[in-house]
Amino acid sequence: MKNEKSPRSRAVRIFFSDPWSVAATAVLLLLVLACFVLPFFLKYSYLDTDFTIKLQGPSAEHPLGTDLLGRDMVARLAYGGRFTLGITALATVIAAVIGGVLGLLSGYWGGRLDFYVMRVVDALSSIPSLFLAIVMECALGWGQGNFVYGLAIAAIAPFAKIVRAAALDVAGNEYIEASRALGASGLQVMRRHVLHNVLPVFIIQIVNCLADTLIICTILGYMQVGINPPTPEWGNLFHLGKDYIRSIPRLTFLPVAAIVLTTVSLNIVGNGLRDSLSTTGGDR
Amino acid sequence: MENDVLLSVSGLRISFRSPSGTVRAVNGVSYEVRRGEVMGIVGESGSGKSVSAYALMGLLPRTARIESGSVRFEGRELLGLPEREMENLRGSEIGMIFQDPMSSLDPVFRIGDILSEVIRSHEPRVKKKEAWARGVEMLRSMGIRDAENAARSYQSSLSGGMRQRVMIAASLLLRPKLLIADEPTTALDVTIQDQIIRLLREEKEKSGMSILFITHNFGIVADICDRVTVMYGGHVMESGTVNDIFYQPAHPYTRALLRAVPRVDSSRREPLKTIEGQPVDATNLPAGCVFSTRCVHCGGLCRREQPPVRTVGHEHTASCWLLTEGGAENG
Repeated sequence: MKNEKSPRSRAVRIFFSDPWSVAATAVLLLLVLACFVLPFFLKYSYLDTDFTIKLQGPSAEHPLGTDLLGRDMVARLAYGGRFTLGITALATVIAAVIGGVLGLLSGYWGGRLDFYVMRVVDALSSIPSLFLAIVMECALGWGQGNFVYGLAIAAIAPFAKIVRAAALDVAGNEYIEASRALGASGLQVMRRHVLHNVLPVFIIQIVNCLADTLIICTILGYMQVGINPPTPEWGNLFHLGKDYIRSIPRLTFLPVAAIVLTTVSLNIVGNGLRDSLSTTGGDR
Repeated sequence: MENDVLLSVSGLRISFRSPSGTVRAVNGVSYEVRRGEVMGIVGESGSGKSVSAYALMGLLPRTARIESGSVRFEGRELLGLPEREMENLRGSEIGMIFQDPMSSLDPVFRIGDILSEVIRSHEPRVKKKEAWARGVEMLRSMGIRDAENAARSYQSSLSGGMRQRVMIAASLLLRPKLLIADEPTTALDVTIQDQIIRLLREEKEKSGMSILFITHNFGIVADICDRVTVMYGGHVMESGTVNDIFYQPAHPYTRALLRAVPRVDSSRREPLKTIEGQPVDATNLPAGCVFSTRCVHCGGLCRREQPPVRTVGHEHTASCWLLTEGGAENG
């Protein structure tokens, strides 16, 4: 009885004892702050054009210079990140909720429900997510961000599969049977015991999904399918910058650096979470 | 006398679907548990002893099918009861403890949370704090020192014996009339086994509950049980008081089992007696007596027809062709 540490606090301790995880978390936090808080303090909007200062290098007024329409690159990048990260997060949340519920029901309830849900999920996962996003954008109206649904739907399948596998694993434990024997209903057991024990896997999958979705989101932006100019997005900033890659590499380098930094950090955090959460619950 | 019966199982038949055919796990099993008594169900692995208990809790896996039979608890038929009513019964009227205390407590909740959940799922109006306090109180009465601390800890910091105590606390929280103990000491050290058995006996004396004690350990049977039902191949072989079973075993299977119990006081260094052959294959049961394939007394009739249940003494029954009604063995 000496160890009163909860599985949660143990996982947090293990996570933050890894310098890589700490660094990646810090980078992500800074990026989120830069994208969602910084814009409130900026002098320029991402739409303020000024042809007299187009394609300028860094200066006190414009720390990262201006683009071909004389727009402030700091504002462009920050607002761009706001769209990229926001869309990525939105799609992930939608997928996590739907996929999580499907996976939980499928894995714990099993039987016929499991069979049908999994066949639908199989069908979904056979469609490439990029393709699904483009189709959604075409079908529901161009340029209105409808590709988000495509991103979300494409991400449901991995969520459902991973959560189902974890729920199946948890459901086989004796403590599930024991809580049934103590009078908990099937729903109670699922909500409390299965859900809490599936949580580590679920959290890791959220982080992985963010990384995957971010890439697809920026690819779409680059292909001019996702968020379209003049609204900035890291992918379309990359697209606009690539014409000047020889003369002004900064315009290409900055959005690409943002994309790479975010995905790499997300992957490092995902790894760190896997290492720290996998020890949760186990006592052997 | 009839009113004394708390639980009566009669003619219970359960089968499982499996890739290798239908597994006939329980084949017409009947037994009774009276108020305040400890009924032992003894049998080797695969004898259907646990399956029958899971059936009366309504916790059979999906692949199981109850073919026929009846389970009456305080006169009320449990088979076919709506799930909602079974949920109300489980934990409050009938408690259950399991074989492996190492894995029967959820690792991500504190002990106190698990205990509170039991109370609050049956009595939703009880406040969290009150439920917690009742849990702590229960832990204390299970002989756990520093119960407050134990309630705040997770299962990973408790020993196996402690976890089984916690599990017993959880299943006795609402003072059930019947406790089903499915090999509760199999996974524990001998010294801890003894403590757990003593705890169960004390609790039984205190509250007057009945215990259905499933085990394969005859030593424990002698320790705690009032009456014993011996099962093999999904059939009841013999049933009687502890004294009947230990001093006048009527069925060849019971006698063989008792011979196979290692004894501390055996004078010569003789090898442990075992029962020849393999346990019966539940997908392919013999036409006659299920024990006929291993029985040293087996005759032609035994292979052809299933023996009827014979009364061999007061409250003592056995099903074997070698027995005559009301008397001793004649073979």
